[in-house]
Amino acid sequence: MNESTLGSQRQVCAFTLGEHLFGIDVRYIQEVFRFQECTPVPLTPPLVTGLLNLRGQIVLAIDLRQRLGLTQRPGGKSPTSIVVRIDDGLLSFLVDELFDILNLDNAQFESIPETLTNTEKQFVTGCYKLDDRLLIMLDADQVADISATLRETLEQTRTNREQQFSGSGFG
Amino acid sequence: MENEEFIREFLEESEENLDQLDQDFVSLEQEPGDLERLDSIYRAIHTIKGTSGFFGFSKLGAVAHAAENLLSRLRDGEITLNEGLTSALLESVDAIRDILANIGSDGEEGDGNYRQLNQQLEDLCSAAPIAVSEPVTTPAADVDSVAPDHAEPDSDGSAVADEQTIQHDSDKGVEKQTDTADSEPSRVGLAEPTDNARADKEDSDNARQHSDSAGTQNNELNTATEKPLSERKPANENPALPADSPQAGKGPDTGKPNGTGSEGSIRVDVGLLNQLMDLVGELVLARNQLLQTESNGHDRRLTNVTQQVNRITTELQERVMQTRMQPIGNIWGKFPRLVRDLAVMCGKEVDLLMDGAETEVDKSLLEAIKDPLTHLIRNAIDHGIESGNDRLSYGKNKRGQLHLRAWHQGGKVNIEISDNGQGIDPAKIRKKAISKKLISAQDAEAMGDQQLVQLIFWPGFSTAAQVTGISGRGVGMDVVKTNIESIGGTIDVQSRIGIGTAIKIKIPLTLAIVPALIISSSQQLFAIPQSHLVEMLRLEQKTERDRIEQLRDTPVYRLRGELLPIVYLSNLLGTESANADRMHDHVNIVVLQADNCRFGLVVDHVERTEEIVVKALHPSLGVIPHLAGATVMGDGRVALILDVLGLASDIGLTVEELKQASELIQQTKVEQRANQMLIFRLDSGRELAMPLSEIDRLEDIPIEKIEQTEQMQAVQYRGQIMPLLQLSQLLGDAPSVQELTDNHLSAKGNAVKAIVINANGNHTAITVREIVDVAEQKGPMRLTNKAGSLIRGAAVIEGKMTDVLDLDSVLQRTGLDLHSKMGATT
Repeated sequence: MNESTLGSQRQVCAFTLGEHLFGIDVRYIQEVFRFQECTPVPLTPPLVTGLLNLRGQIVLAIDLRQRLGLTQRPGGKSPTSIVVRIDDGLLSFLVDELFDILNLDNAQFESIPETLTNTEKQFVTGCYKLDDRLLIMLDADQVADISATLRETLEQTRTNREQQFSGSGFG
Repeated sequence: MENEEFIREFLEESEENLDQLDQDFVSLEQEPGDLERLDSIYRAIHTIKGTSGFFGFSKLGAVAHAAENLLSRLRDGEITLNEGLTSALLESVDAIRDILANIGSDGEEGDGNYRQLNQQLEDLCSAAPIAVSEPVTTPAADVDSVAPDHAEPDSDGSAVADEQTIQHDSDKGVEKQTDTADSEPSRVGLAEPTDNARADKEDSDNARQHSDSAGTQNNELNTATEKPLSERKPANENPALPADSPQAGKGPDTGKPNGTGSEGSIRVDVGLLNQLMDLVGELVLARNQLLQTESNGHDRRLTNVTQQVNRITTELQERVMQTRMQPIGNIWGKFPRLVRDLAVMCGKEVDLLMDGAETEVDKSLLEAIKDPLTHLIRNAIDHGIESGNDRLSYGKNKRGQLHLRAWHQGGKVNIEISDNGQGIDPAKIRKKAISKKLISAQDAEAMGDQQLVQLIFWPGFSTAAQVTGISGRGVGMDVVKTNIESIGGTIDVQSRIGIGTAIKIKIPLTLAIVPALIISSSQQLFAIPQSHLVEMLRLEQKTERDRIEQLRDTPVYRLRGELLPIVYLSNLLGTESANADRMHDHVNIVVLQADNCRFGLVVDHVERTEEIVVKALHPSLGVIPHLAGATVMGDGRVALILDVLGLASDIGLTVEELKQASELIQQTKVEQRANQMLIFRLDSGRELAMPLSEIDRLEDIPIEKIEQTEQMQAVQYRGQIMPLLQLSQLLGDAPSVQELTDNHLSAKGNAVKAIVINANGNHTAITVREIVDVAEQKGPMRLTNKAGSLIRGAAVIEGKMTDVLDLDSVLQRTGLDLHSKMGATT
């Protein structure tokens, strides 16, 4: 992987999801802003929050809590949108709060902690032990790659509909 | 750092030059005497060689050097161009292109080995003129064999003398080709190098042609004496063309290898243009909001400024759109080379004509049609155009013709690719389609030739008897069709056996902004591109809604005798449960056309139509076929654009099933209608009945549309003249015409009620005062056996005795009347 390195250091955008602290390499990050109104996209799983208008550009917003299999964000708490550029598409990762931009020493990077769930492990490259808490580094490409999940949902919807048709007898 | 900048510039410039080189070489092959073109080719290669030396690209330098040497000898007339030489030179252009591409990607020349090519070029260079490879042509030989005996290097006079002899000998062979040649608008590789002035004086086409060939001979005799006779063939086969045709003007003038583009233009990065486009899109949105805000206030000055901003924004939007427009010639540029290579590969001779290369298309669309067009050209050369000998035996010109045309019409770009080849044989298509089980033998029999030909667009269809390296793997035309349709275009084929095939493509001018219908479903706005919209239905009453029936789990609606499958959008998108829609007191159906399938989409509300700026969705959303993109609405919210083809794929019924069901319904309907009677009242107050099955339509005809001739009243109806029959007049209880009109005026505002009858395609209307009812006839009819009566008999309808009109007699009488009257006046 081609991380943003400053000699032996790298820059990480850190944010919170519940009590967890996660990080993404800053080279992906385009901007961070308060969440705004979103247009829901039909036939997508709940992790797709919708489409938002970023100064005329259409950005697909993904709820990272849903994506990582964490508990739902408590109602009334509006998320923060981290806009990332991956390959040639813009995505918005919805997180709880922006924590900080950190300069971290590469030497402190550690492999995947055992305490994570399987869903989490799939997206995690490793972690940093900060003074008082653990920063889990996310693999942004993996997190962003939602095609398979979308396809599954689409299939599921179709099967459901067919069952509904044959079940209800329809008219 | 600076070097990189220079190299980038060098690459961009070279790329353009290389495209031009392809064209130039192909043209030069047809017109070996065109020294100006040769010069321009030489300069282009020379520039590349020079620059490569400057940057130290040794491989590039070597290839360019070898090509330059060869060109230099060509230019000095030491050797003459032929097919082998052209191929070698084109190969060197390819090599240069490869190396440049490598340099572009990683700054290195790549590991291609061009030693063999260089050697070949060198060999060709040092080869004696006689060793020039054997040309392939034969059939024009009688012309050639006569010519050299007579052609002397000195005189015009002797050449004229030749003409008579030659003309005589070759009359049969030449006739056909001159027919077509003169009507052609432009030709690639044309520039008539020889004796134009003299040619113009000749009125006979044949004579003109031979003066050309004689002229070329003169040229050649000046430069080289010993060479194969048929070398002259290209010039001979290339009839004289006006030098001011668009392509002719373009070829040599614009693409000067050393030219840095025309003076008033600069190079702009496409990414920058796209950003500009986005910004303008935002400005348009801001403008819309401003207009909304302003309409609430009363400040005069603000109103003025807002209007100004509005006007400027609109204009800015148009101008920025224009910057993305590019002439279609930009992609056509590669075709002369393609055609030449393919023709050589297939052993055919093909002339490519291009017309309307200046027609402008949005850049993104241009990219999208490049591959389909290439495929169609391959097809035309591989399958369409016959080999030279076959063509001669059919009495056609030996050289096949491929004609590309483009023009703007009705906000669309039309592109036509036509060839004068063998055409598509509907019988072969039929056989093939049946053997591939694409259609049943029964259906195939029922299909007309035109319908059969359309089958080439079906998946899994390929007509070539043998699969060639060029085309014919059966993955062709359906992909072409899909590609064209994916950009909102249409494609159509017309073909006549032995005459040729024409493929017509229509695409929108731009994809960036399209007119769309905005609808809502489950409180969400969606946009549907209007190119797919057929009509909109609103079913208000319960009886109408009841016409939505079930056919194998799929709801269908009977629309004018056809079954329209119905899709509930909310259901399709999973935004609402399947039954919720039926709770509405009315149903909105948007009828959409997708491919060859028509369907009705049930939506909650139809909002408005709007020009929308199309934005791409994130690639991962590409798995959802129902969505084509997104757009930003006036209030800044995002709305999804529906993909009509994607929606259609989710309908539970196949096109076949629908057709069968439609036919069945049609049949039962006719049976039902046989007993149904229409009861109507004439102006005289008399009530009559006629079978519903005899009636085409009921119409209200506006009084002002009625035209009165001396003999009859008539209206223009569906492109025909439709006579209006006054039945009461025919029946002998008629009020005057004046009374009639008055009656109508008082009765129904400004329209006349009419029953339209369609007898063998001729429409006739019976005007009536009112339509009373439609009812079933019970029991037999009591026939009147009076000869010449217009009343067939009486029947009991709705418990009342009613006279039944004898339509045949009416038509017969009036038909005879009309006919004799027509005869009298003309």
